[in-house]
Amino acid sequence: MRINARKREISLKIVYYGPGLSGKTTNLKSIHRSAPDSNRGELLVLDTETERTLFFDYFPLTLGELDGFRVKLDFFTVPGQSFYQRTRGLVLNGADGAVFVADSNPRREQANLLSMEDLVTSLKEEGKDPASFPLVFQWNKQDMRGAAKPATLNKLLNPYGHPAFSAVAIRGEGVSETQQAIVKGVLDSLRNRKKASA
Amino acid sequence: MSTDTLGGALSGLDLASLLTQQDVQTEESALEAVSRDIARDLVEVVALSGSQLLSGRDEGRVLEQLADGLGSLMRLARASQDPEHIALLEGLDEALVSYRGKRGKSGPRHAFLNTLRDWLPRYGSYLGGDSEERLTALVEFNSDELPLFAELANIRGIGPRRLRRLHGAGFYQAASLSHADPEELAAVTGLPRKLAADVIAESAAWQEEQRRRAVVDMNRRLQDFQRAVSALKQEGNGELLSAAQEAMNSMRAMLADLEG
Repeated sequence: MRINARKREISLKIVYYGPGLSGKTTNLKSIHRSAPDSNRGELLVLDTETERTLFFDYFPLTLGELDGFRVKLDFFTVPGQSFYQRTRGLVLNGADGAVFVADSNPRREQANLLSMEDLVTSLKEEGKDPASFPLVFQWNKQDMRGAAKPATLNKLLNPYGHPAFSAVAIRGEGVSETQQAIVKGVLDSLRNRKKASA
Repeated sequence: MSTDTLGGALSGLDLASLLTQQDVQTEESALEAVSRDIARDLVEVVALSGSQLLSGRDEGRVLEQLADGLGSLMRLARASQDPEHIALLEGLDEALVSYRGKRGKSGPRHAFLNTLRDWLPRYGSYLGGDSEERLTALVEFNSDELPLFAELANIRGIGPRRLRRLHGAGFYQAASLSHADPEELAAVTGLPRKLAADVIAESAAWQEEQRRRAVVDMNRRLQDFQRAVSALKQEGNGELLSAAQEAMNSMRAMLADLEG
């Protein structure tokens, strides 16, 4: 959580993680489209297909006010391709929560696994416990023929039992549920953290 | 998220129930922080691309790399809307545009390199952290000593042609190559998938060998140090002994890191 006392603003960072082409940017675009104009900032898409070395998508969303402070969510995506590991770490740094967007195409099983391992490693490097860190899974592309079943993906990627949702992000299905779950997870985690430190 | 859901997310909360002393108090936004961190990495690639110009070979390709890297930095700067950042990059971009118009001539090439040498430490100072020091070290570049560029050439199976393809795709270090997915590497370098997988495996093996050698080397140094510490103990030089023991602990921590 970042606090800007001068601007009276609190920002929470939520990172959409997952392998290349799993639908992270599609999620962000869908959230941005459905957010009220008054609450959303500009969506910044730095497309890695044309800009090989640029690396994330971003948009800010105002949640509301708390005791005179504006509470803002900063949504980021990471580049999925395996070799952007370093950049992923930089984007994930200081995150308050993450969404893992898995590709339900059975041929991407290995890519899902590698990306999840990568996320767990990065969280541990930051001193965060993947079991208690606010994390939500999304099984995207469930409409494709032969898509891996949610239960299979859950067993493969979600040993910690975090909330998980089926989705077809390109049609907007499951996007909002995923987003609401991660926002709730982040806020619950902040509350619990405060109780634990009290 | 609809307006109702947005407002609802915060209902029943108050600020005091959320804040702890761990929270970061800063005027830098998350976007500015991420952009700056990525720029710290990216500018080193720009610096190294620039150092390739010293030889005058592959000028066209290196210029493309430079323009690509600088363009990416510019997009980051514009994304975070920092006028100082944008102005710094525009300065170098002007020099690059002028040089690109006269490519093939050594005078304009050296003029650009001089501009780059002056510019990098200033940019490092803007980025903060250890960037100024790192970039200042990089501008001392010498065409015969380009450690990062030389790294991939040490890996079995990577000859000059593959090295060019890898550099062209933005791979300069074994660490990033070892983590690549064969299909994705094949797609960005044009190497057949099987060869891409071989290159990744060789890169990982080379990296592991370097780690193993570093462990052996560190163990050897630690033993030497241990002997020196024993001698100090006998001499009874308390101040020096305490400094030496502290250094030895830090070497042990480095060794533990290397041993993974």
